[in-house]
Amino acid sequence: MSNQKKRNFQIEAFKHRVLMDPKYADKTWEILKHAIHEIYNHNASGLSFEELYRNAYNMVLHKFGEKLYSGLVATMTGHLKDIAQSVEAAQGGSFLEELNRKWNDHNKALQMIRDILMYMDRTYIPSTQKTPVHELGLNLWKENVIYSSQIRTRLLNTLLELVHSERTGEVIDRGIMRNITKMLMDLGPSVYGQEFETHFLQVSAEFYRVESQKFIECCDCGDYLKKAERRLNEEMERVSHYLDSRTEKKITNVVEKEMIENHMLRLIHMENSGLVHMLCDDKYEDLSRMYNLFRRVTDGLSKIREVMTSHMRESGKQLVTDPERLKDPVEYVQRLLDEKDKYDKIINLAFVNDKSFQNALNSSFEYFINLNPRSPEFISLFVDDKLRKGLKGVSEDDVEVTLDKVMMLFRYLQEKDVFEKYYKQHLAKRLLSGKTVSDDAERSLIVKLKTECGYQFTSKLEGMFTDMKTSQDTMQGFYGCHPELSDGPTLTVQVLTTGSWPTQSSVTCNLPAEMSALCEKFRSFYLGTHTGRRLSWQTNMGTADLKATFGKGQKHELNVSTYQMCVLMLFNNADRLGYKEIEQATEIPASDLKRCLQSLALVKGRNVLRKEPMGKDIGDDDAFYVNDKFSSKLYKVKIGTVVAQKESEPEKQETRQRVEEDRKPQIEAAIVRILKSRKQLDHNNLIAEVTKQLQSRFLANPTEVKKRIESLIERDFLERDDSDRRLYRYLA
Amino acid sequence: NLPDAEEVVAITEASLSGDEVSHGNDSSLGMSWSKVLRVRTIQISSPILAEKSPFFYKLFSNVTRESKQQNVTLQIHDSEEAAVMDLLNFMYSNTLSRTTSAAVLDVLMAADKFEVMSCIRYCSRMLGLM
Repeated sequence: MSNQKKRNFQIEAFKHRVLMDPKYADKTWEILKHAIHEIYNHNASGLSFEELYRNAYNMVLHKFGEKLYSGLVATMTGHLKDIAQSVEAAQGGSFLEELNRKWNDHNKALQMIRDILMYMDRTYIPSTQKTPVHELGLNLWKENVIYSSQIRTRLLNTLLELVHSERTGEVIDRGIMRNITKMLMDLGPSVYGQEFETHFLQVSAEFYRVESQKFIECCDCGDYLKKAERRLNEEMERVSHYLDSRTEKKITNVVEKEMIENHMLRLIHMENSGLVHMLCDDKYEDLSRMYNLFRRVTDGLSKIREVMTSHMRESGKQLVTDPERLKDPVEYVQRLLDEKDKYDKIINLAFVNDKSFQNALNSSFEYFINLNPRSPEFISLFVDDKLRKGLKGVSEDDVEVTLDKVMMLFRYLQEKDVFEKYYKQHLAKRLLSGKTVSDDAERSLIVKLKTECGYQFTSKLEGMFTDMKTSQDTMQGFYGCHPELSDGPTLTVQVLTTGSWPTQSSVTCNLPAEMSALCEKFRSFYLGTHTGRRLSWQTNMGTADLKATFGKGQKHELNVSTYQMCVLMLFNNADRLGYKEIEQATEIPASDLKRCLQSLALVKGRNVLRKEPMGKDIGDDDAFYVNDKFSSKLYKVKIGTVVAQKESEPEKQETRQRVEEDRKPQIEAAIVRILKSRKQLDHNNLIAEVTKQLQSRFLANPTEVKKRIESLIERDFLERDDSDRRLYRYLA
Repeated sequence: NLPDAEEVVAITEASLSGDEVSHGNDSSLGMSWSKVLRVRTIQISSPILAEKSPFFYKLFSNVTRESKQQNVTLQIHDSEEAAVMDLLNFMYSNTLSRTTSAAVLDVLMAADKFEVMSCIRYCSRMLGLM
């Protein structure tokens, strides 16, 4: 606004103030100087603030600012020199107290002097670029008191000695420490740094270097970490009590470096107490302490992670390759789960669920589980075991937990298709033998598999469940049409859709006449309602309940397999049968027949047959009799088959072959999919992409991929580029 | 933590008159070379003064003599009288009754002496508009 209205106006000179008493300035300054003395002598209450302010104002107004300012410097300096002397004279322990008391006095005096000289502070000092009164007071204190040769070193040594005393367990006056460090800070962060902090950090580093060396020689890892943690906490506490808060980072760095970083590897690898020992013994507290301390230093956590990873891999490798473990698949998987639980718990309790540790855990499991090619089979067997019997008396939640854990292991598998193959076989056996304990658990697992493997896989499993249900209805229909059959033996048929169920090389055995007549009736009933279908009997998968009367009249109901039934029925018409005779009559494949005879004659308490000669193995010349002395407390006797639960070597080969066979179309589909979108691709990239696409299912073998490419070229799906033979092109 | 709200401020007017030193009843050192012309006593609210002026705030709050006195004396030159009265009025009303440039300039001087920022700004603005 004033810019717009430019007017000249004059300021009249202050005529009435021009004339001054020449002695005025001296007189006025004497008054103020006297007042400053009075203030330092604690006699301020007798002074008039108004008068002193007025005098200082007048001096500045009448151009005696310089006189006022230099007078102030001289007077204050004089007082501070006196103060320095009295501080220097203080004996021993009273040194800091005297310094502190004088500092407080000086601050109070300075405050009042500043108030009196407020006008000078506001006008004269900014215009002459002099130091403001308060800052001037601090500077003069610093120069005359703190930097006094008698005080400077003594102050530093006193402070450092007190810290040292406290570190060695003595109680010190923290209040005075706080006041003195606060004074240094008030004089400026650089004063605090130069006069105290730098030396403090140096001395501390030396102290902890010596102490950590002593500890590492005589303590085990856990104890050492406890001591280091305590020291760290002490230092932080010290800072909070009497040092500047910015010192915390610096002093903790010193402790971290001297006590942890310098001894990191030695601590981790300490014999009988280091990291591996802690992991083995589940020492959550020690592990947690190690994590929290090592986290503070560079590479601390990665060192822990490395050692933990190699330990997990090593012990995992031992577990999966131990020939003892291979004998019991359920135990094998249980061990894996226990191992997983163990490390989950450690990561949860001690490593605050650190993601990088979880990743290390996952990659380690992925590594060693796949070292054993039978892992997929065993995991499926474990599930089979749980679903057959293990879940009885276990709550639904626990079932879910167990199944979820198994799915975790499943995720680690590289050859997921192998697992699927076995899972299907095991499920089929469970369903057909009516051994499955909980339908809910079965279905819950299928839902889990669906999310992991996709609909394609589970649709077949669901088909198996549907077949079971339909078969029930079919059987009702069958007996509805044939009421006359209610007297004779009962036949229950499960009609399985080919494709949904694992294909079995079906070798039909000779059924007893009664049964085969019944089977024929069912066949004509079924084909009568479902034209165009073909039925074939899978006698290797059935079961039978037989009513038997033994020599002394004991009656039992025997629950046996179809093969066992065929064998036992033969003894309705004979007392003694040789192995060859049985084989001829039943046409059961030799390996199955031997197993079946073993379970009928050699299992204690279930031996409804007697073998001659006695002995574990079944020979071609052995003879079998009904065991008239058979007895059992129970009416119903279940005769299990001596099943090699785990697959035998040839079976394993066969499954493997089937898996390889199933992979072929999947590899081909992947090749075609990729080339269809890329139009053309060179050999190496194609292999890489195929491997990547199939990774979630199995690890594709490059040789196999190459064979599939050749086959696709033969069938005119692809062609090689004429000029570059490494290049493939998609043929629409 | 200022004393009572109503404070009595006695304004003593003095003139600097060369060597003419008064040897009267006034024992304070500052008075030794000036003559008291008249004393005017006014009732005034110390919190209002303290709020507007750091000088008054320190006057009432420091451990000097004034903090214990009911009557606080403010000694000014006789040429300042009108301006100081205007300044005290301004601290209550935020306006000035005399608006001549000379008068405003005098008030500005007084406002500067006692660091009444609101009045310094007010006077500067008025002078800028003249």
